[in-house]
Amino acid sequence: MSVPVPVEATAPLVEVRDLVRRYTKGWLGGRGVTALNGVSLCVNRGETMGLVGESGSGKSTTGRVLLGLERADEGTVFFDGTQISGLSDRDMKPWRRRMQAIFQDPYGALNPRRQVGSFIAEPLLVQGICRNRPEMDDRVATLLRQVGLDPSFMRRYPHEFSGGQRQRLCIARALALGPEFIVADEPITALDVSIQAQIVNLFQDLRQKMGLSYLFISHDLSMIRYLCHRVAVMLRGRIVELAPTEEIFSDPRHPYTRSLLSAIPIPDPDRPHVRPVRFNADANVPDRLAEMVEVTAGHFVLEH
Amino acid sequence: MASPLIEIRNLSVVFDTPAGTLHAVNDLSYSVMPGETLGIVGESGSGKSVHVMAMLGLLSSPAARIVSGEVLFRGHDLLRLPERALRDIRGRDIGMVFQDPMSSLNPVLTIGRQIREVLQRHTGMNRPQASARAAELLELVGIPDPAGRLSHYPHEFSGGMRQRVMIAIGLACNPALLIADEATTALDVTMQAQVIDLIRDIRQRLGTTVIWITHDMGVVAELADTIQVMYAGRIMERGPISPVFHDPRSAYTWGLLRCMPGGAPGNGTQRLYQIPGSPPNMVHPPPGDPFAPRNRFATERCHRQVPPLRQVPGGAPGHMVAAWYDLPEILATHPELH
Repeated sequence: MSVPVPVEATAPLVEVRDLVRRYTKGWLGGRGVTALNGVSLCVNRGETMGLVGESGSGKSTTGRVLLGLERADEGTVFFDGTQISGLSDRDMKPWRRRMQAIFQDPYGALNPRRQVGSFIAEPLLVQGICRNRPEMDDRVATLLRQVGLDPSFMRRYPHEFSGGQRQRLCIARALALGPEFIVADEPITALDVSIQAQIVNLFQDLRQKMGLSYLFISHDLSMIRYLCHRVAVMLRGRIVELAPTEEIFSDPRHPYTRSLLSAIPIPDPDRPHVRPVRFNADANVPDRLAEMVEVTAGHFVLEH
Repeated sequence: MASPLIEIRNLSVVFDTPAGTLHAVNDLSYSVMPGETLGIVGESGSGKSVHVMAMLGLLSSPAARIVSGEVLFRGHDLLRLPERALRDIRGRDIGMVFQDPMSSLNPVLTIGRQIREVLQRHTGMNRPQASARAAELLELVGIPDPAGRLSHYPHEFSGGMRQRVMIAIGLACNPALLIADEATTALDVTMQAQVIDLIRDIRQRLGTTVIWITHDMGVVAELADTIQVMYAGRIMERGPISPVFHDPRSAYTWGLLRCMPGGAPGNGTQRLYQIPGSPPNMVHPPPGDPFAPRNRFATERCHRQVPPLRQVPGGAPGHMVAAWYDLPEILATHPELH
């Protein structure tokens, strides 16, 4: 089966090289943690890159470092060919318009005392884009329509919205500045099953209409398979396998990837039960110096 | 024919909220046979968790009120037992595992003490006996070095390991019935798969009856003999797992099965089937079939009258549906939906 080639495979839109992020021990003592231990990946224009792995593997940290929400201890981040890691907050500001984040919890993101219109308009204010109230209302109305909500909702308060609608509000805000790249960190995990499909379809539509690129972080492998062009599998701060989505699912090479795939619950009651493949992550922490080997075109596996 | 281990009859639960009376569980009746695993599927507001809490006397009054119903377990109506007698049954005859192990375990007591407490309370074991049994239980749920781990505190366990401890506590007294509510939802997929595997093993070895509550159709398919789909505090469909998955008769079940990605590649271009709208506000429940406002196939009668749960004509024995419409007939006229 052919792998869909993203629009123009010239230079990646986002690229990170050899990111390292350590959390030192706090005042209570305890061990320091290396959250990222040499992470390299890129996201092409128009591409949806999936990032999977167990909790604590460094998925979210990768997303945060990539957006400049957190600094890497080592490594570099490039956006559209320019190095943006190490920029001051002021120099970073123009870049922030071009990349946005959507998180798991749409409840925590909204201020219960403010009308949702002002929540969506906030980035426009911060970046000084809209000059007056009518212009702002116009923009917010357009954004609400783009995410499938009625423009009249802008005067309502968060408690009047369901979980799925709240996630739509967060997406509207993320779209306010016309970004090219969005990190979506478990954006459907907290939603009801019947609502998840609505939001996933919205992601698809927006990508096609606006040419967005995504880093889609999730533990739901079926959804990743459905949505992503390529997938990176993370284990203890390193990417252990990276390949076009169907390659990962049909020909997983790393033992951790195999264990992960064997664990997906299959909604087919007639399928004989398969015992999950065990993988001891503690005994197989990837080495910082291990290298990614290209086994077939675009399919990389960490030496193990 | 054997008699059910637990039988719920006409259970209705309401919450008094500032906005009005919320009808969480509406005239719910079902039973579970000994040795059966019942998978209950539903989304938030379906009543799947509330009805179980009500059954076990764990709802906090006065906000929640059981308006009517009986819960018959081994000849006793759990809803009319004195609190003391109910406490004897909970933990001993009925084991429970909830979603969040961090809030169910006491952070300042060792794991060993928390398991022993259950055993000593219910079985009259002395301390050494209870310790030995506790280690045995940790081994059963696949925790390495069980005897050594007894002296550890909850924070020294990973999330998956804590959930195993919760399952060990749920199983401590060899309960006849294990009730698990979203017990694997907070776990990584690999850990979830191990817990599912463990439940299958235990069920086979001990003949435990299981009520497994989840929102995940995949998990239900892996575990359950019988599936029960709930919506707005009612049963929409119920039956042996295979017929319900392959030949769903409720538009809601059909939609749930269709809106999952289902393990097929989407190439980033296809759209998933989506159920429009969101679950109803149960302070003002719809007058008829609660799913009717979101159901593209709803008839005029669906909007008006609540359909009873009935055997599917010509369907597998025990395959029941609450619907005024005939789903296969409707789907036959919509070839674009296949």
